[in-house]
Amino acid sequence: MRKSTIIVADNITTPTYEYLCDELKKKLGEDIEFEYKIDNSIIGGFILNLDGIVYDNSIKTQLDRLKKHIKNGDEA
Amino acid sequence: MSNEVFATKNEYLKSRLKSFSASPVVYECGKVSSVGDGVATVSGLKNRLYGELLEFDGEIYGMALDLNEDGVGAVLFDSADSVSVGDTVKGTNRVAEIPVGPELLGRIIDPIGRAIDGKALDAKKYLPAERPAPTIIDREPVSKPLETGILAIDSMVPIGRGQRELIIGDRQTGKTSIALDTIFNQKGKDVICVYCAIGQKASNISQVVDYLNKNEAMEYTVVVASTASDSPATQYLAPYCACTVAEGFMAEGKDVLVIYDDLSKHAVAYRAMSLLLHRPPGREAYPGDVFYLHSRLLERSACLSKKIGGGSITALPIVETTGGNISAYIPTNVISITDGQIYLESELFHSGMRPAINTGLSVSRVGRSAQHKAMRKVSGTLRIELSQYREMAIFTRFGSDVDESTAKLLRKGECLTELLKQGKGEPLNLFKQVAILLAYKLDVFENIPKKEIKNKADELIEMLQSQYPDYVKEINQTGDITEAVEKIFTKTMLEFK
Repeated sequence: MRKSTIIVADNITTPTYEYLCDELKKKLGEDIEFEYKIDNSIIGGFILNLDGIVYDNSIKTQLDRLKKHIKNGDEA
Repeated sequence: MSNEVFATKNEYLKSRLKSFSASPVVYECGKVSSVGDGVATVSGLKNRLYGELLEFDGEIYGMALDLNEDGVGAVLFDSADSVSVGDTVKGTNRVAEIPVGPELLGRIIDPIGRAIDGKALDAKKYLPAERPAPTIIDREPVSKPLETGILAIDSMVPIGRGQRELIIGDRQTGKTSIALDTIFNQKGKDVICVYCAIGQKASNISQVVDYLNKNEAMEYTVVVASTASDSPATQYLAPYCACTVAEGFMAEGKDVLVIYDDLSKHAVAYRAMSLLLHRPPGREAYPGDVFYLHSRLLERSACLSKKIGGGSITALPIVETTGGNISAYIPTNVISITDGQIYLESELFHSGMRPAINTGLSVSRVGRSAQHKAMRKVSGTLRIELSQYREMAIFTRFGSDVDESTAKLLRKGECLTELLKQGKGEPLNLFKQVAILLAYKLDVFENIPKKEIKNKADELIEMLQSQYPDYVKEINQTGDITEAVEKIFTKTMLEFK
């Protein structure tokens, strides 16, 4: 089994979380074990860490990127 | 806010929002497994570049220098206090970069590329700090002189544009003064200057900036500064960054002068970094690649061929010796890399000879061919005469009986020594230098007491300037002195005598 961690905010519902895990398994392989952590600072969305590679799809990171995008005028 | 401004801001926001795509961010992430003395080992980062910037928690940056199968060893640019074990580390896929371009003129930046003079820096272009040196095809032999304004250097150890000339000597012998006077003398000569301070006291750096500001030299100068309290990694990076800044100007066809002040401190910073990274120590505990450290830096100075736009980087690295020992490890390394050296001696300095250049041990391997024609005509035998005088002066210290020819040689030598004395911030232009040396050749100052020689020379120069302003202009512009002009000058000088 490959271990991975998912960081989510505590406003996620159990069915949504289970749906997310199922979808990720479909994409990345059935042999993944998920460990979840709650971090409210990410606001929403999720951050997946699998073997040292991070897929960051949290609201916080997107807002940070948007801020940079508006400020700098180029893709952050 | 008026409606109009509001509308344009609204439009701008709308367009920015439209062009934004909310795609997930993917990056490699590791964990700090140990940290101390400005070095952190990170586990989990497997696919990093050599020299890549790593982002630690809290926007602290480091550079990956040791790549292993299971992680990297990184040096930190900021203080290590705020990094702790277990922190996450992100790869950035970027190597250390530094801003380049005309926006930098008159500015002080640190080796990370941040302005440290309190003003905002709006640079348009960034280049990596470590870049390959220009290839053989891209280069051209050094052919244009770089005037330092210092008579002893321009006449006996001339420097060409694209040359690397080491300034070496003990502490307090005027190494930095020579470098600063050279910067000062580039005013109006279309040469960009980069002054790189490596591991220096912040008070010294502020003195340098103050001096440059006072002499209106900051307008064409960039200062890259790392202080003694900066981390070894920052100090290590400083000269490479200064060189990249210079390369930015060189690529536009400009002639650039870079001062590395000084490379012995750079080697010490690199030694500290290497030992902390557990690299095996060699001679004097320096790592094995300390030669390559400086050779790859100085190899980046070049005189580019006209085909790719010309431009040049002249490097004046400074190395500090202890007890006048130029055969120590780092001094010999840098001497062998550079195209010559200017050796400053504390004994000469204390005997009142300033700049305290030892002409016997100073050489310039390529500058002679780049010297101005006028200077070449009058400076031919100067070196030999001066070393003969210094040798003879030691002998005659013991006895007073000398024959007529020796006495004459001594008198001439004394006169030359007096003429070569030059204060800080008093550069001489080509005409003045040529006039002084021509007068010396003609023995104009033969019967003048030692203390008055300098005043007499000034008097002579003033007279020539007022009598022949056209010739003065001609010499400064063409760099040559025609036979006719030389004859007129000779006649005037002999009359003056």
